[in-house]
Amino acid sequence: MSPRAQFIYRMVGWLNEEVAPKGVHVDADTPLFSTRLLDSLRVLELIAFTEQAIGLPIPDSHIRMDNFQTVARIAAVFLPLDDHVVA
Amino acid sequence: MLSPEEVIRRLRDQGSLWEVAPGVSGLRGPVVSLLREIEAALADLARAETSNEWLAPAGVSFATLERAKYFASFPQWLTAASHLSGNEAALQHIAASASPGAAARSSLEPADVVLPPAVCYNTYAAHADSVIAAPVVMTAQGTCWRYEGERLAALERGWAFTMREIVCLGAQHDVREFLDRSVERVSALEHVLGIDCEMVAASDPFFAPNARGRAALQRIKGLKHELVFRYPDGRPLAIASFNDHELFFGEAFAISLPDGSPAWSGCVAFGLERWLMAVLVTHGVEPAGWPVTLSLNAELAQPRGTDK
Repeated sequence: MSPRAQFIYRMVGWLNEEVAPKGVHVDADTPLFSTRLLDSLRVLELIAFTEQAIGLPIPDSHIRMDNFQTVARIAAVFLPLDDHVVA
Repeated sequence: MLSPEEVIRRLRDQGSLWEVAPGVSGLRGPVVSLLREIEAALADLARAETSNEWLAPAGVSFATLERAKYFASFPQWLTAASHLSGNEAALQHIAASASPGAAARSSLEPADVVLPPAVCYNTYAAHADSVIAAPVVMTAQGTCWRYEGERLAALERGWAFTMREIVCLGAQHDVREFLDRSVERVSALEHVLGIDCEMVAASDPFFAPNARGRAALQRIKGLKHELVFRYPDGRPLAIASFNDHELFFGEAFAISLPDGSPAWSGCVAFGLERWLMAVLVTHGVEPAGWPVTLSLNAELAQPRGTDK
């Protein structure tokens, strides 16, 4: 499994186990911010989760909707296939 | 273009600007007329959106700010109005003191009312616990107070400054459309004033400990944008903000739509002294260099929105 696929697997697992309310299922393409799935504490955990995976802090300028829309998008932006962070 | 420091130096040298405390400044001379023209242009811009103009109270209650969760958001700015007691002996003591000013200062009663940190809090409070049958858009201008310590700077970051706000309460699409219209109108005004700005995503300077999370949510959801003027050296000056509050104030103040769901809200805020600074940096401090007319022109005179 590629680092990106592992990241998606782990983050989706975390969201379903720790974050999503009962009866709500999150997958890699679920919009994360169109509902109240993530509050201001959870969003920090989401950012920290990503930072831990890429081993780098994410600057505020990269914390925006087009980078964080879905788990798949986060993975695509911060864990590109060649494993070089470009965001 | 001038630097902001040069603008302030020249205004001080002319006697056009002085401060009684950091961030509490006065203006006189032609620059006041310029500020009044900017004020009129912003009022016209607001009236193009709504004829529902309010005269906002000069104070806001602690209860209103509590309901707005202000103390978990921006308590660092809070400035309040106090007064002396009506106790005759105490007043006589102050009057007879060698330094009555100092004696009065140490005899103030606990504050009863807050000096508004923004104009809009009173508008939400005025709609509290009600159902709005149709979208509501209102505008108001007032003096606002935000204590920012060493960051205070004349015309840029006043402890006291003038704010014009346009507020919208309604359904999500009402607020989104209101904010989109406002961006267009403000761009037209920027053109009239001959100042060059850009719209940027922004976040509020929330109070710790949850500051980064709240700011991150704002950024990711694109809830706050600012119209930023750049000084010659590139430093930014936000002269207007466009804020989508989602359901925050609708829930906090129990403002509902006819179907029982909480109202969405949004506001557009203009810092008048910052607009003045942007014009002075661009055109200089001499009236001969200022735009010929800053009054509303045809470009801005879009048809009024429905009187929401």
